[in-house]
Amino acid sequence: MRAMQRLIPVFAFAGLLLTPAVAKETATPAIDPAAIQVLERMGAYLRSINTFGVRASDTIDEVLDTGQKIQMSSDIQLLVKRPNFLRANIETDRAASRQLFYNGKTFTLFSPGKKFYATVPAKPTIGEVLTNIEAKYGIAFPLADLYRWGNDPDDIAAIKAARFIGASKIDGQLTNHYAFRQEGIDWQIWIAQGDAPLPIKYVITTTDEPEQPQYTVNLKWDTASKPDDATFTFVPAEDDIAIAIVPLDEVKSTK
Amino acid sequence: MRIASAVLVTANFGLIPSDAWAGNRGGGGGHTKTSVHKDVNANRNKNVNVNSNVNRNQNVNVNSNRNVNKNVNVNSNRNVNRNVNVNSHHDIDIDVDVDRRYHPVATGVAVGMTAAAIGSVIYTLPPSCTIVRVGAVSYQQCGSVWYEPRYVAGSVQYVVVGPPR
Repeated sequence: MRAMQRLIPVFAFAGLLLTPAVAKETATPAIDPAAIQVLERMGAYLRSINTFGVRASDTIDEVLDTGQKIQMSSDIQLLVKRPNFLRANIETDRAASRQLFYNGKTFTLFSPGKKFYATVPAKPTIGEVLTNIEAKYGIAFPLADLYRWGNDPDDIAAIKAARFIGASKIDGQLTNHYAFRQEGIDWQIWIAQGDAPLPIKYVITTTDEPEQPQYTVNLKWDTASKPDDATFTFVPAEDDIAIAIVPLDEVKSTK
Repeated sequence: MRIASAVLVTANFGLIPSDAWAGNRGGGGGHTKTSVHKDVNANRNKNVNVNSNVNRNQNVNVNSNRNVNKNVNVNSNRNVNRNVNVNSHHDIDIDVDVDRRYHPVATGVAVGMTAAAIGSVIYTLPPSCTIVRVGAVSYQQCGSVWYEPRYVAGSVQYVVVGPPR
């Protein structure tokens, strides 16, 4: 891609003198169709498993004003039962741990450290609730990509470069490693070899920040998980404290 | 995600002074994207700087302020402009829910200026507060100042309110 950009001015000046040899050089496909197919296959597979559990360890770079990057990590435990049950426990090395509960009717955000919780009415499906809760309350569900891969052809259209890197073993699991480029991010994914093409790891590099901070996540799947429906409904304990949750559009007034 | 370095320092490295949490999409400056799907990253800036009166520059060496909580005088929150207290608040509260992940709200540090002004917001309570339930609402009473906790962008904020009773 970068090579192609460099060549654009050449084309402009070369005009009619452009030779086939030059054209051939730029014709090297940035997108390997096989890599796209693998992504589509993974997306389709993710869509096909209705109930699953995932344990994930992720890291994210925080960028200080000085440009120094600081890596933070958390552990995430996710339970999903399509179309309308989702539970996430996010544990950090500090007290900012959170639990999210969604049961098709209500969404609860719970802070186990402080015992604060807030429950609000929620849209009827996971897909809708992800978008709605984020837009309305600024709360991003962890590992949102897992629910989104395979849903929207535009995601594939956004890919500007795609290539296979090679086979790779992660935590004993044989995977294939692919690399993609999109507007603002480069990303890599390690997809399990075999009949269950699940994402085992992915790394997202933010390329429109000068420091190019990264987000990484390793995933352990449990597709045999059979969570009880009750798992997805928050029931406050005696000493839990209900607090208000403020929509983003009401926040500015408090400045 | 970008956080003001002074804030991080204040926070004893990683203890970003707020209850901001992973899902929170606030924070100042840059961001580390966590999704390859554009709609997921799309709203990242929505609640940036919920509380904008951050005193970012005053604290460069604050790591040494660890455990300063003894210095904090709860009731003196009325005295405005005491930036020193601001930092000590955060340092002490090892319990603070922090967002060291999606963005930590560089915003959280704002305390000192505003402590007693109704409607002002802090992310970390002074020490020695008690929970007081009045009707359906749970307040934090810290000396003569009352706070009502609430979630904003997934983080816990405390808003100064008038005495509820």
